[in-house]
Amino acid sequence: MDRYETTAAALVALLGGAGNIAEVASCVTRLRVTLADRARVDDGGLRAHPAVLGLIDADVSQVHIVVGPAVVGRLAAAVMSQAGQGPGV
Amino acid sequence: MAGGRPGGNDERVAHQLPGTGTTLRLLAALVSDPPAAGEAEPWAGRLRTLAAEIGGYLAKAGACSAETVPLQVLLGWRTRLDEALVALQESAPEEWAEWRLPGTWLDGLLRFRSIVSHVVGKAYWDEAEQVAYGDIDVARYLWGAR
Repeated sequence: MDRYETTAAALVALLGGAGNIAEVASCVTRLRVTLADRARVDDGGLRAHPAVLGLIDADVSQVHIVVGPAVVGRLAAAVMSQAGQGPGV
Repeated sequence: MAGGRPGGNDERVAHQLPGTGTTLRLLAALVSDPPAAGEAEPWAGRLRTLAAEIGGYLAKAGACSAETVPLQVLLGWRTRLDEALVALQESAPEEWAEWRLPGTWLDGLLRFRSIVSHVVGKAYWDEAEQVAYGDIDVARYLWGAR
């Protein structure tokens, strides 16, 4: 596994597992993750992960994970793949 | 005319990274000048303690001529700042709204947290265990390249 795959695996686990991720999208600097159950997210663990620059609640079921523009594309693809979504499936 | 007009494109100067001393001085300035003791307590207490600890670390780094800081130290600062800032936002929303305005002590801490977070992220992807103070371009981050 490369750095993106290991980071995605850590983030998916902190988000409550692949089964808790309903949708993953990305914008310029953020992963936009829609969740089945917001309560299953480990907020403290996400905030403490060095790749996570910030954590924002967009609404009751969607969180934005700020990771920076240099890595967001590849990391989003890796998270999508591990969550069972997107072209990697 | 050789050299072109003053200030024109011919005189563009490459931005240079700061020295260790400059970075330490600017980082320390961002976490200094808390509200007076007894004022605005208890909401500022947790942040005051953490800011003093960070300021002390930076002062010691300067005194020891340290050139680098461990990634884990930076990550620890960021994590504890996040915890204290979230606690403040939830426990004292009025003070939070007032004291996060530009130029306040809280504004300085938020900028410090943002800089550290970006440095931690870059070091993580670079798989670096140490960050050189001279690579932390505080002025460029705060004010852009000039």
